[in-house]
Amino acid sequence: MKRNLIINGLPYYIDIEPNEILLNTLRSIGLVSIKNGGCNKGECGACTVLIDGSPINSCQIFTNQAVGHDIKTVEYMGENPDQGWRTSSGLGVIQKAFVESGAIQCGFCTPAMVLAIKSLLDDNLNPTELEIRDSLSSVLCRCTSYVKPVQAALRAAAYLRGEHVPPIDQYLEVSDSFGVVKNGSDSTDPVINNDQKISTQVLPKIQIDSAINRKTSKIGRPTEKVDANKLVQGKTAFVADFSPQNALIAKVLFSTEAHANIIEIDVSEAVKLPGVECVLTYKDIPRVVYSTAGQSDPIPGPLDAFSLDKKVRFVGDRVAFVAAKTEQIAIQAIKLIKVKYEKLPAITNSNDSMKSDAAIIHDEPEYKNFADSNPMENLAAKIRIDIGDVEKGFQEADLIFENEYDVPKVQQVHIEPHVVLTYWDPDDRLVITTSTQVPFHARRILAPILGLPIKKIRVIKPRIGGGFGGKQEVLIEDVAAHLTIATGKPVLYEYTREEEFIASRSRHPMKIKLKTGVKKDGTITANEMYALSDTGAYGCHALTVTGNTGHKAMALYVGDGPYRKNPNIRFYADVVYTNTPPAGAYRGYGVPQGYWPVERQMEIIARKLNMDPIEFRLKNAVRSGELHPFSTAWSEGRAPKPEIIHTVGLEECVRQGKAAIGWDQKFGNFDWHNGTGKPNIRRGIGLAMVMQGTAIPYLDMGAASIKMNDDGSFNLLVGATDLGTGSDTVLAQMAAEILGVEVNDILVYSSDTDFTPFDVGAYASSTTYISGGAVIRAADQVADSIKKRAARLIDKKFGLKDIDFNEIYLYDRKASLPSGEFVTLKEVAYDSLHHENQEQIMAVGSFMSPSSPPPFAAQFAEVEVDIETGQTRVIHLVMAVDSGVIVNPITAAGQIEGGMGQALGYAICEEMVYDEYGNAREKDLIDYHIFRADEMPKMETIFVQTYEPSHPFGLKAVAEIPMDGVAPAVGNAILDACNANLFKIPATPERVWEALQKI
Amino acid sequence: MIQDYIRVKTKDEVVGLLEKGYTILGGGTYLSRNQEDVLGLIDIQELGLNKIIPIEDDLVIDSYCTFTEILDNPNVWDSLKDVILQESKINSRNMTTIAGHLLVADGFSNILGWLVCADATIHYYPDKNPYPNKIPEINSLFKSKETFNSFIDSINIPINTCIVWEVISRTPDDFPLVGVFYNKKTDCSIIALTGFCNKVLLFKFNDDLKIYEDFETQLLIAHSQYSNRFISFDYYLKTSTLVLKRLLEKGKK
Repeated sequence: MKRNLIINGLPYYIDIEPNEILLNTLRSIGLVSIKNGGCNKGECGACTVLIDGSPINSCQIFTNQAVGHDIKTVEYMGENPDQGWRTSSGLGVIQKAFVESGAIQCGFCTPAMVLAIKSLLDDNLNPTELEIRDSLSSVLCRCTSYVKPVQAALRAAAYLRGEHVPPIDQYLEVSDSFGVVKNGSDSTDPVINNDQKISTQVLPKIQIDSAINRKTSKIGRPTEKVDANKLVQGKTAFVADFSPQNALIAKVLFSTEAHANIIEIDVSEAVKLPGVECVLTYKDIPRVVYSTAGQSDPIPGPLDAFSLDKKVRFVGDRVAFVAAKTEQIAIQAIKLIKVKYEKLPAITNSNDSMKSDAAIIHDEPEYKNFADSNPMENLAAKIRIDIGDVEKGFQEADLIFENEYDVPKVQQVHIEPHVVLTYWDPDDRLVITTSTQVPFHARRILAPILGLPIKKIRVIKPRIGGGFGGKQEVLIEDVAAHLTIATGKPVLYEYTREEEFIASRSRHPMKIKLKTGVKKDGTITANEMYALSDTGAYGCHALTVTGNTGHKAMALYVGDGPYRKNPNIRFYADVVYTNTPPAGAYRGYGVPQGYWPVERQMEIIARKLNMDPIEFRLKNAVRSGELHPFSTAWSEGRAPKPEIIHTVGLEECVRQGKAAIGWDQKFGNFDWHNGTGKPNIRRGIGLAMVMQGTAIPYLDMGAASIKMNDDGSFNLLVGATDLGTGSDTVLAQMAAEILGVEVNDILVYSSDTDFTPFDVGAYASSTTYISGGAVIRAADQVADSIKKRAARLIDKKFGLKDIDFNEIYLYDRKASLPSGEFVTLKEVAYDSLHHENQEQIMAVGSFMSPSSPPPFAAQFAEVEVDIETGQTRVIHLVMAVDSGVIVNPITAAGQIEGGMGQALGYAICEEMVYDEYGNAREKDLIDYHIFRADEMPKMETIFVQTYEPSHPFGLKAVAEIPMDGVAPAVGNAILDACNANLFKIPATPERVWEALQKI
Repeated sequence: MIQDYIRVKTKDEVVGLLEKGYTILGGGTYLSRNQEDVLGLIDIQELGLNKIIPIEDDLVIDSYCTFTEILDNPNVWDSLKDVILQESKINSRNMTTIAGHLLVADGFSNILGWLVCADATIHYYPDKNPYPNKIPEINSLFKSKETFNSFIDSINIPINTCIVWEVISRTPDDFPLVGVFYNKKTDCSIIALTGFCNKVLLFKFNDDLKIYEDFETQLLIAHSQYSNRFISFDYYLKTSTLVLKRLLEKGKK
């Protein structure tokens, strides 16, 4: 029936079905700022709109209910101020504040957040932070931990009150003078003082190494994200936004059995359903074995997956694909497919996988081993690393500590679900527009599966609504592609939230045994870890994730004295198949699993030895100039090569972090521990030290091309994939630095396999370092070309002879001589393109690193524990990080904050549990709780800058390290609060309570 | 399959449509658009059922009051406001109506726990009907596929209600692992428990001196209903008893 809707002040007279929800109506008329987070239950809030000024979830309201009400979306709030000849009022104040504050990462939930703040500020221009957090509490954000969105709201309120709001980087000007904050003082300086307690900060504190070159103008500056304007307006940016109206909708029939052979599959009823265009089963498509892991060739893991198989290996495995004209028809068709299973014994506990009588999960003849994988033992990977003489080290120890630890399976929970759109282009090439971290790997892996040569496939990655490793997987692209091949039509396939939980990837759960030998003086003599890692039904990332558990977590503590040069370290792991959803890549990539046991063990040992836990750790921690102990022993299944660790800012991280959290006043202070005013509540404080890596040496390669335009701007094409981290911005900053232009003169395009150079993709904390290295190389070449031409132009313009082009420097959009003569870059561009010796100034650069310089960090946590119930509340998190030179303090801090928030869930509440039949307990965002804005603890980020010599700008990685230390810091804080020794996370009330019963 | 949507103007219109098998939109309560057994939708937003008024000994909350409207009302108990703020985030509060929530919520809803503990009564339109007027009884009834010819008009809560409550949860906003609600009435003590099973458990004790003993006994009797997949029964038993002790202390104060 036709109805009148008032949307953004405009009348819409449109057909509305009685069962149509507002979310779908708004998107169908092009208001794509309204996002579908896949929950359809009001859990994620990405679909927020304002109805009569109040935020509601548009997935929870029928469109008819909104008739007669004022509907507002972010589209009405503002626009980019540059509209050519047309006068524009520009972005709305709240949008502007979001852009300036760095409140936008992936941007998927940004329009929802902006609307939520709009509703608040319309009623209240002096909101407290609590009120702001409440207003944001319906919108889940997995990137920011809400730190900067809250600050953006405060900033917007100040703008709206008519106050002078200082530029965002004003406080960075004083960063050189930042030192240790006096003990006990509040170290959080808000940008805007609302005369209230503010626990958020836009800019992190930065401790700068005096050796760092401070002349740089773009590196180290807080810079607005290059895609922020687009995202804050909710413009067409994400895969689903590009879907044409006539795209078929794909759905997958998922297995209800954990382990079974498909005896019979009848699709006849489904095919007959009007609107169904195609149903595919394993009988219809080629049987090609592959790995879904998005990694370089050769993939360092077994090939054990098929697009569709006649066997299912977990509840959620694929059985059939359907394409239909509407989602409802596709869902209906799925229900009409009849499957007869022959049930097989299911393994849902990794302890059972290697038993002699265990069912074999991969008995297919096509299975291809990698390294020591052995499907007959349900073994996806096996790792045996020995450094030094561990047995001798234990003999030399005065004390041996042995404990067993458990870490859970957890989900990435990017708010944009996995989504892909496929279609044939006019040249009969298959276009795959997908939310992926690995477009080039996806193209290479998909080609044989689809029976197409690589050259016939084009993969486009638009903006990604969060990935965190979950999209380092070729997970659903083949579904839509097969259906497009079968029908010849465009196909959109998007996971629901439930499908994300049952059919996507997750962090490998592990059972870990740790044995440590120490002398009475606190010297570690040997450290031995065994990890039983559960890869689920398929072996994607099995070897590499679990290898990193040892490679990073067991590398930090080498021992002291003679052990420092000759550490004794053993890391063994078995990565086993089970009939549960596959694990895969997740931010941190195996390392958080390792630091839970390592850092808990360090705390236990220090307390047993009656040593200060910080001194004990620093005594044994690796130091600059030392060899990475694993670099001679293991390299993801490839030949290892020795690597020296050049920079270790750990001691300074500890100094700064201690000051920020008030360690010296709190640790061991009886009054502080007990002074909560509640007899059952105890306070505790804990820390963890961690190291990560920066890219994969001798493997990760990124490339970039830079092309000069008429006006002296540049197109920067990168294969790197910005999944919300801000890497496009950071790469633009690097190019701008070398080319002497503003960041907005660099037009970044990423990534499209037809147009951008190759890049392995966004993983292993590699983009800033690897892709950045490529940008620098390309920019250096372009700069040289500019300078050579500029030398001739300056000669011509000023009559100067014998100019050495090497003397020319690029700055302020000019090519200048030290004596002051200059030509503008626009003049250079015009000359090269139009006037003389015409050429296109452009270059391509590639970068591959022979080392993986580790970032370091000290993570602190303060908790309150109810000693009667075990309920634990985290009050404060501080992370002091050495990530080398920080290119963009705002985006880098955003990485730390967001990572800490995810890691907090790992510590406190997130886990995925299965029953004996392989059915998931967690299928939505209610049972699988992630932190909301109003329940986040206070968070602080401190950067301790070192200069990493292996990179031209001295930087190291930042994105993954915040995942590593929160859980053990929280575990150690719980111990400090109440003597409860936890060996398993998350630290749920019952687990803490059980530990309390054992005291 | 939903084939019709009607925005009604009168209560009698609602009754007529209910008899045809239509379903009332509660507001913000998830009603699948693919729900096969729902013929049509009744939108009652224009009936004016969003008043909150003290009448005699009760606070009468109209069925279509949203949680936001309840939060904004000065007559509403702070302890109910706290429980709403903890459980229902702002977008839901703006949409979810109290009656709608009653009908979809389960034993993991603290709001439901509070209302059960308050001994709230349900009033229907038309008021002569065979339906029960206590929440624990209607909760399962409305989840059945029975066709109704009455609808919830208001929820009445005794004005002298005084509830203290405490939950144990993984995070501040999370669902309750253990939720205990205590209401001291003149003739008895009412205890409602959330997090135990798919419905709120309700106990009434006349003898405060034996309350712990009776409470434990009642929980052990209810063991077969226990369905919290996130914690053990043993933990529930021990901590709920402990929380009850705290609440009794708090109640005394």
